[in-house]
Amino acid sequence: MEGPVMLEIKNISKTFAPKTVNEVRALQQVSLQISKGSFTGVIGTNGSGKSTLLNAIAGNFELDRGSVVLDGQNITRWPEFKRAKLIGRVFQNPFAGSAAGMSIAENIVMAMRRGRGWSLRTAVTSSERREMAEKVHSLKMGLEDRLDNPIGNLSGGQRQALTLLMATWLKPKLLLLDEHTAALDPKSAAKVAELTSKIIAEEKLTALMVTHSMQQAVDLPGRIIMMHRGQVVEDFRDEMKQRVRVPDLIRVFERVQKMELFDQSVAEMLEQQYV
Amino acid sequence: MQITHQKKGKYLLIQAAGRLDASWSDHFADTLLTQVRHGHHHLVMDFSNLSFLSSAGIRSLARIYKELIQVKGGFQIIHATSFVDNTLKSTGFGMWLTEKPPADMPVGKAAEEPVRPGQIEFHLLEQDASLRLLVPASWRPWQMATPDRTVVRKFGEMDFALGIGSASGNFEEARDHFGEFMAVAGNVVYQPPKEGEHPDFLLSQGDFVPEMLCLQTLQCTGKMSHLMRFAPGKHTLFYGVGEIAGMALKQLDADALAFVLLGEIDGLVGSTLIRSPGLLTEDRSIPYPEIKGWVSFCAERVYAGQQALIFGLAARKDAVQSGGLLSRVSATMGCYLHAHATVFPYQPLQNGKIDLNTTIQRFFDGAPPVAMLHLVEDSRPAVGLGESALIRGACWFSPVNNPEGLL
Repeated sequence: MEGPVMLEIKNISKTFAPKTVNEVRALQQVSLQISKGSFTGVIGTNGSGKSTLLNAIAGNFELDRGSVVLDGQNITRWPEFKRAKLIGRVFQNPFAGSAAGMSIAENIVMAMRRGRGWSLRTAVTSSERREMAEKVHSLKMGLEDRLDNPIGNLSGGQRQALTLLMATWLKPKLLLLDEHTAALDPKSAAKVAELTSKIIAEEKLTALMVTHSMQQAVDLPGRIIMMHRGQVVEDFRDEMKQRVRVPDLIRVFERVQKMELFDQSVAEMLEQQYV
Repeated sequence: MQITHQKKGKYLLIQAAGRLDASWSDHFADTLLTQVRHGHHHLVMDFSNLSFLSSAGIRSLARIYKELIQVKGGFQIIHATSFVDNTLKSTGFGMWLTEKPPADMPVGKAAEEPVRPGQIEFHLLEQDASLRLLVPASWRPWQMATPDRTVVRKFGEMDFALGIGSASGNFEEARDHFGEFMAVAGNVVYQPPKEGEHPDFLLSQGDFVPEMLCLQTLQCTGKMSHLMRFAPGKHTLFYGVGEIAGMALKQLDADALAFVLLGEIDGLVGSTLIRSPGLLTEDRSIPYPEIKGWVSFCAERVYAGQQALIFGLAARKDAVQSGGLLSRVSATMGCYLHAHATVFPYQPLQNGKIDLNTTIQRFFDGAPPVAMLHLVEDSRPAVGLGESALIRGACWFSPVNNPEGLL
């Protein structure tokens, strides 16, 4: 059963470079309701609007129309930095979510104090350090003893796991994962995917994950939303989601592509042939 | 490992040199199963240069053997080296070994195979057999579905049918579920009207006879009189469904016939309902682009290499008036046609004269059907996909003795 709504997107649209030869209708009247505590996968072909949808929620750009309501607050006009207090985000690039020259501890302390403002008192307290070590230990990567090492010395997988930890440190209202395992080697990707599911389940977070891996989407406990040309074309949920398998998703992709080739001439041919 | 083959009469002589182990077993099995797919069902394997055979190799031999058993083919190993001979005997597969090649296998260099444009053979099954046609429900696109336009039909072993219907028990339940179906010899396959859904099927078993609530049905009862076997030749790589129906019409010299076609797919072209006609609230035409929400189109030739079970009715072009339940097939043999196809995973067919019910049953007993299509001929200029075609297979057919319902 679905719980109360955490995120409500109503008829959002965004066209980049309108009325030019480069016009891209990236989002077209997209509406979605995401339940509190759910973990939703977003799949689609390249350029289908998956990442644009996440950017729209995160406030990377102004929408042409539509609204975004998060936990009852209309954040449509909020700038990105203001939304960041409510939204955690992990990007595809494992080097995008942390500062390479700073230590693990310094990176984490910035995540811990996000939204609180900054003062001259930036040293890590002993209780913060203890909490930090405990949480880093939960990653089971042996990083708790290397908190003072520069984060830039870590592998992509280790760095992405820490980024995930930092993005969820303050239990955001919404966690946005933008193909966050795609740039990792298969072993690290599997590890980070496992950690993601564990953290989201333990912290009861609401998450929206863009992925190119259909298997990863199928393995999610929640919904799968399929996008194409800036629109939601399929929404697998409840019992439909329980039975969906990768070949079913491939079939839907094929259907969407077939639909594009169904033009006026096909309609005229079928009028003659379909009896 | 080196694998060579030579056609010798009805036999295919395979010479394998090297080691048949885990590294080569899949390649070996795939190579020989391709030959089985090409209609070579009597394999003689010369293992005089095979130095090693592992359990993986035996498993690949067993795969081939199993496939050949299904099509009543032959499988024997000659001139095995002592290691291979001992391995097969000690693992219980000594029955595959023979001292000599089959007596009727030609010796020496094989004669050149005659070049044949295509391979067609006809078999008479029952001289006076024919089919009686019933058209108890004749929905046309896009009429509204109402209870008085539907009829419940049972499909037993003597029935062949196609149309639009639902397996639901009453009209209200069926309203959302009218989709394409076909019935062949007591087996009904039904495609729910939602794209991506798998076809469902009902099989006659014991006292159970499948029944459908039909909105449109062309039902034939009786027996098939003829069998046509077809295979590719030098100049004919595949046969269009309309072409096969046209050859059958010519063979019977009849105005109309019904046929069951089972064969390896070169490519199918068709469409499927994706929304039930039961949801229409009035009789109307559905314009583009709304039509895209009601019926799908394959957009490319699909399901190559798999097996199609097709039931269809065909009539000579000059015997048909327009507006019936057959559609024009213009590019081939000049006949009108209505055919539905069910796609199954590939299984080879036995050569020669084969029984319809037994052969079809093997498919229904195997992996479930993967798709169903209402076949169309896409004759759009330049971009058209043409008509559905098969590479090799069998076509059972019989004249329809009351073709008025079609014509």
